[in-house]
Amino acid sequence: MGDIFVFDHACFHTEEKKVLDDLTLTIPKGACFCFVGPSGAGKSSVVRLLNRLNIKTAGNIIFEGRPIESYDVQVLRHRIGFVFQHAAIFEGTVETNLRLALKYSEPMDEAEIHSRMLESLKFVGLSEEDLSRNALKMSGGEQQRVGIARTLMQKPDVLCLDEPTASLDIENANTIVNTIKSLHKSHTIVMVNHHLNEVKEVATHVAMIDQGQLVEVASCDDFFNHPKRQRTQEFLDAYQRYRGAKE
Amino acid sequence: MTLNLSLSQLVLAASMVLVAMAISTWQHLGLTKSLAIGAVRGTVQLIFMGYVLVTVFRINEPLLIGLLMVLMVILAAHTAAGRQKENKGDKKRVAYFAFISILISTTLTLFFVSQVVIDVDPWYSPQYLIPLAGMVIANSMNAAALGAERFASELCARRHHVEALLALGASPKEACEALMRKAVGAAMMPTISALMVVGLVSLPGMMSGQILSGVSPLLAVRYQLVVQFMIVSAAAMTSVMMVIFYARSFFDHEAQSLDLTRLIGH
Repeated sequence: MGDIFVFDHACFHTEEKKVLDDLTLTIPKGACFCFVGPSGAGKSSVVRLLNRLNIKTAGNIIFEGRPIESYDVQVLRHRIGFVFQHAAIFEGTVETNLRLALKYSEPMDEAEIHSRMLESLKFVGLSEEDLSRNALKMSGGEQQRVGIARTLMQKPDVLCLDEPTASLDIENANTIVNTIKSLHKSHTIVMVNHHLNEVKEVATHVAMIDQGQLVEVASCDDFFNHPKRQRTQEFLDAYQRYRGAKE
Repeated sequence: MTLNLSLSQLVLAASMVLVAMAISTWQHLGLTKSLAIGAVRGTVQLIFMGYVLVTVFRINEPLLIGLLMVLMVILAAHTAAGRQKENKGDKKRVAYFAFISILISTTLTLFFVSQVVIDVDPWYSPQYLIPLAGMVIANSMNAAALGAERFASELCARRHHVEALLALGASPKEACEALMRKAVGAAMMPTISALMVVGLVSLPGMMSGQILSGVSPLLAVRYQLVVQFMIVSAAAMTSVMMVIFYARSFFDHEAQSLDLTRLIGH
């Protein structure tokens, strides 16, 4: 299938901090690639670099064989859909929010818009009846699904999700995980997630980032069952202890 | 008829500040010191300005008048930057954009009023230009300060929405146009409110001053109307420029990405 993304010694430094340093890894096409690691490790910055919401300060990032800078930003962002931890729902109905996704693209005929809305809603487990609902009055989980559906309206090749379940309860988080599973059948997924149980369920590949550095990248099975780095094992153990304490 | 005002009369008037200080002391308002400092400072500043104006009027040199007005704009920009709350760390940038916005709007409105409307002769006549500039600059300063402050607070509060729009392919301008409209509206509001109540609740200082010094109220009203219209125009230009310049400074335009680190850290 080949690699859809290549990070080649990519760095993202701010004036105060080396947020990401010398990141080199590849993301295969069709993968569900998850970045894990402690809070503040730089995971979100990695995915934000892909559609240039953050700007790398050194190195290269290649998307489908070309440096990301060689794409028109708008084209890049239409091809790499982004779902944030905060769904950023706008005033109005679900339909208003979904149509927003096409506001910055080439004009499209009404029939095509309608069919895209229904298709996107179906993906996230919502239906045509939900189109007229006030989006701001929906639950957090439903809003997150509207956020995903809005991104899907643009028919992206890749979906980046930045901690999509972080602010949701278990039930809503499960719905989102199931949505991601079904999306993975047709999309490459790049996700940041600190819930390792969810990562285990959906990921094909896992990369651990700590203090802005790549610690380990492996297949999902190898990452959880045969970690090569001691730091990975410590992180997995700490997560198990945290889960045990919660249960 | 011009009513002369002697120094002893001025001292008598200053005694009214003593009343305010007495109330403050009596009610333990803790404002006595500020009132005293304010009264002394205001007196010194105005007397100093009086002498500066006398000198400038006497020399009557366009370059000197221009320099004085630029100095007034610099002080206004500095004051506008000093009023920022949420974006405290951004004072230098605010001062820079406020300076440019106030300078452009003041120059344009002053040119129109002095050369087209009033037809001042000679064109640089300081007796007209400086008081008009003072009023335009003061109001533009408020507009610049309010516009920047409101835009920064809106951007911090709505940053997730702005980024969501950028991620959908919106340009920086498209992503924050709603916030820009709110900021310009907030910056313009005091000027519009003043226009609504002028003559009803408030008799503007300049008009009252003219009437007190013997000018016919109807002529004073005409001048005041010119000033009000000039202020509205300058405030609109300043707030729009300020908000556009300031908004642009938060984005990388090549990558169309938002950088809020200087407001909220990374």
